[in-house]
Amino acid sequence: MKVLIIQLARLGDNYQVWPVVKSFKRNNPDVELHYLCRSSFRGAITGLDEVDRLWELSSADHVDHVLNCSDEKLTDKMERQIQDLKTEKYDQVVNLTFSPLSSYLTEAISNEDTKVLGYTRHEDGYLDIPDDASALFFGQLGVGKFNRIHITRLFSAVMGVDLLEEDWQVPGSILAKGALRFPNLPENYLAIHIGGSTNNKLLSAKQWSAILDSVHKHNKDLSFVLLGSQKERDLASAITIQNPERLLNLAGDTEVDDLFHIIKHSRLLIAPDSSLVHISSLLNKQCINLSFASVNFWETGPLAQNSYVLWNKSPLHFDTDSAMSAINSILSNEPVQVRHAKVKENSSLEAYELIGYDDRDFEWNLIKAIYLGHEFPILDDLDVYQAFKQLAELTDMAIRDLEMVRSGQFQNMNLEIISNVEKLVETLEKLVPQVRPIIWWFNTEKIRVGPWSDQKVFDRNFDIYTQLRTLLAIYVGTSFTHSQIVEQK
Amino acid sequence: MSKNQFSEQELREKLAKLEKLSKKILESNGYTKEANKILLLQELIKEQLRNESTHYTTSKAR
Repeated sequence: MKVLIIQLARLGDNYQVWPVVKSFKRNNPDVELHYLCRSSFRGAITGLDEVDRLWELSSADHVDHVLNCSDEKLTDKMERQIQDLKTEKYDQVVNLTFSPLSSYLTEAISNEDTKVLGYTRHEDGYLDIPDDASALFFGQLGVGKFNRIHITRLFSAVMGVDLLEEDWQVPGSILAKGALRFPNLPENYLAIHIGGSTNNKLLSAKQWSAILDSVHKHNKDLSFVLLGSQKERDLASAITIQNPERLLNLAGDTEVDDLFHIIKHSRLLIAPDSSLVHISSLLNKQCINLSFASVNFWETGPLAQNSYVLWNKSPLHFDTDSAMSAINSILSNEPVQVRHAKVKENSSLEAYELIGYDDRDFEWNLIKAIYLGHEFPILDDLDVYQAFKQLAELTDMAIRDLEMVRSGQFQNMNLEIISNVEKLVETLEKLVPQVRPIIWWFNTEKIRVGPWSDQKVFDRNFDIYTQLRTLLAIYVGTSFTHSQIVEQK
Repeated sequence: MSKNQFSEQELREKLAKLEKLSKKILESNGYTKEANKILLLQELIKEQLRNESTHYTTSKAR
């Protein structure tokens, strides 16, 4: 059996796939496993011994070709890449990227017999979301949404594997490389990642200096190893503490593999939302993640034991005093007195427990109820109840129309009414955030309707409305129409 | 890859051309292998313009 995993996102996403790949190979030792990533991030896969063949997509080369070739040869280069992959005749293609680009590529390289998981395309070009885990991703994941399932866990759900502790491992060969290149690290140090993929994840030199100086005052024997890319050299040089001998600036001097050794031998890692957080998870090295609203830390935060997330809206709103207090408490094994999230001791659906926050988790509990069959959360907000009631009334209207089409009273599906209902649902989504998980589920299920026969499309749409009404019945009860539907079924 | 390696103007012009081309193919022949490749390239260019927002995706409901 030959399987291709596609991960065309960033460096950190590739690291987050590691445990899933290890688990998949552990469960399927005879599978020939191929992996496709961007050329720029191939370094993140070199340590994955489970991968039998690594394929690369060079965005730079493809874009260069598109910009510089004649119109007749526009698709030549991509065609060659597609053919190379298609010739492999994969039994299974698992797209863990969740992007439009990857969905087109997945469809192009799949054969008729290929089992596809993750985003692909229907024969008419519409997005095809074949599995429920990817549908959860489409509907509920991302910044500004309410999901709390970690992305590594979701990747494992797409691939249909369970994760064990042993799946978080780093090969000795990678650690040895770093050990050879950096044999003289300080005895007792914190690894500090000052970089990040975007500016909205970066603290200033002043903020870092304040934090590190405070930590230094409380921990005189600690050193600090600054990590970052070449472009962060200036930022690193501007960071100062009272005793500069305790500061080792390696920004721009390390290769990706070196980071494993440096982080492994540190006391802990302090990092913004970056790929180093995921390296710490693979090493099970304690991490303090300085997270911002530009990501959803529930999905991409650290997973190593005793790791913490200190959340702020943005670097501009960063509460340096609270961060200093938290880091000093963590280093002295004392309870953290400021608001934070901490990795739970036992593996569970939510990787973190929130401490000091007024946790409004109605929407998250709603997601668990819709997708995982958990109990529906108690509703104690009249406005939300009214929104659910309106949503139920709209759903009843749509179902009534669909029933009339089914019984032959309308010749065709009354698209105008259905379309008006959907516009009103959209308005409710904007006005009442608490109902969004249900609406996002509904919208996703409608997108999942394929290019089937008219009857099948009709039946599936009818089912989706009926399922929506069943979900809403939990809060607003059933309507006459709905009872009829249940009886009919 | 950073979008700065290519001029934004160049990328936008190419994207417009690809969009026109894919529309033409879709209208005349439907979603073919050629349309798939053009749409793929279209997405590749779009990624450069929005700095690889990898979690972005859209689709119309039927």
